[in-house]
Amino acid sequence: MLNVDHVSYAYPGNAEDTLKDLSFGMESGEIFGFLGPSGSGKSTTQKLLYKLLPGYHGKVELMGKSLQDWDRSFYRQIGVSFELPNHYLKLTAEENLRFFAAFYDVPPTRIPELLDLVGLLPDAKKPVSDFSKGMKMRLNFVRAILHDPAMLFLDEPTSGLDPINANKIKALIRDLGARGKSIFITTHNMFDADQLCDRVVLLHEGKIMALDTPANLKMAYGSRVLNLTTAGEKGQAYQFPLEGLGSNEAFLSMIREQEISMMHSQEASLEEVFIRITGKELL
Amino acid sequence: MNDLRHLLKLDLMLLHRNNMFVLALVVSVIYVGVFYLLAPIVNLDLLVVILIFNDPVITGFLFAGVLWLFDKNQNTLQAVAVLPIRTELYLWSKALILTSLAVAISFIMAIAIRGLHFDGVRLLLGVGGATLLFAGLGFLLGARSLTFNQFLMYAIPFLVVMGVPFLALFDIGDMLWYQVFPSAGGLGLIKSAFVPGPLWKDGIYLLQLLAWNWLVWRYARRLTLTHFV
Repeated sequence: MLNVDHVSYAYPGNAEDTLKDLSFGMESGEIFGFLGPSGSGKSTTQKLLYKLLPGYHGKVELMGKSLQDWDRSFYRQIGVSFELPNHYLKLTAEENLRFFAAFYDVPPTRIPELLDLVGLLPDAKKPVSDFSKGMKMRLNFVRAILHDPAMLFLDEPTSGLDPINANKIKALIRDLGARGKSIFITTHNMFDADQLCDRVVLLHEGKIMALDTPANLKMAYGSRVLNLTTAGEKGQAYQFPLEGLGSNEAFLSMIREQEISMMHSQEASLEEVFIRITGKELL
Repeated sequence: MNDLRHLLKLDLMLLHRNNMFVLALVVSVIYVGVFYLLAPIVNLDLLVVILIFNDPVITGFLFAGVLWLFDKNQNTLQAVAVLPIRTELYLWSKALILTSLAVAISFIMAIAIRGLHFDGVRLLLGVGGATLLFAGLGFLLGARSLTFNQFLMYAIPFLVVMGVPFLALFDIGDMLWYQVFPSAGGLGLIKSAFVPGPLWKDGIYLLQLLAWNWLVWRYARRLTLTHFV
């Protein structure tokens, strides 16, 4: 679906490249995460991939066709949900969507259906200026999927959403992935990325530091441990490495001799993996 | 053509929701009022030209700048940039709406002041060409401004410079001397609509207006497109 081959990019006037020799590929139906802290080059990569930044070095192909060979019909194949809300505030949610839908073949029933999916149908006739940030972000998402594109670019898709609506959007993203849509997500929210993405890139200062499934990354870079708490008023917490647990005498004698109130395994989070790889915190 | 139709529809809605039609009409009524107030004491031909010329300036320049700033502040340019349309159509749509509005209001003002005693073709070319030009200039300054205050800071000295060809109306030099100023061509044609002059002069005004429009729109298109990113 998408193939990026040795791509570098420097903003005009900048001596140093913002993106440095990026190479990766994406399959149809894959949810692909591009993770990194602010300023790591995530948004620049997205803008480059949806043809807003010309003048890059390397090759980018979407649906087997070089990005440079695509004309404006490229935008019929992709949908973009930006990090910040971008709507005509004096128009209603429905009017905003109707304006954007006019440039595609969107059946009239699709707008209320999609608004209903994200819980905005009762607010369809309200001006967007009356919306909270979370509502505007949900409207951003609806606009991106309005024309049922084959590929989606989502920039911080759960930013500004409360946990209920964040889960609703994540469920929709998973559903779109299951229906064969390719989804490119940029985020600094490692929890969301872990829950959503089939594979992730860890990006730092414009360079790809790691590319794999979240599970493999956590396995390779994290330390897996077992947390154990003893019962009673003076219950104490202990931690044992999962590796060699069956022959760990301290652990075995503890479960033989003491009453245990709680015991669970703990994997490294993607955030810990990122810190381990880059030596930097995610901000 | 369909894309332009959708964009024109959007701009009509935005002008309506932002009360810009009402504002344009109120300004015109004030101008006509000023005309009747000053009619006993000043040269009427001069006054009608000055008042009507101000209209495309306000409608084209200020409204274009304001619409552009609305778009910037709402981040809507990003969303338009990923539509399957030529992005310059977005500018053309706004310019066409503003030009049509300015032409309509200029004709209403001209009829209110002079009845049918004016040259409609020259007025159409003068007001239409000047509004298109000033809309392009409005987009240029709007693209360089972050806030409306900053836009006004740029606009005030700019409008003072654009007002220099008014000196020709007070017989300080011929209008032809001022053709280096973008406003001179439109002003010359509007003057000819009420005080007919030689045809060759109108030809020069028209060519000047076309040349300035070409230059400004070429630059405005390039500059504003970078702001879609």
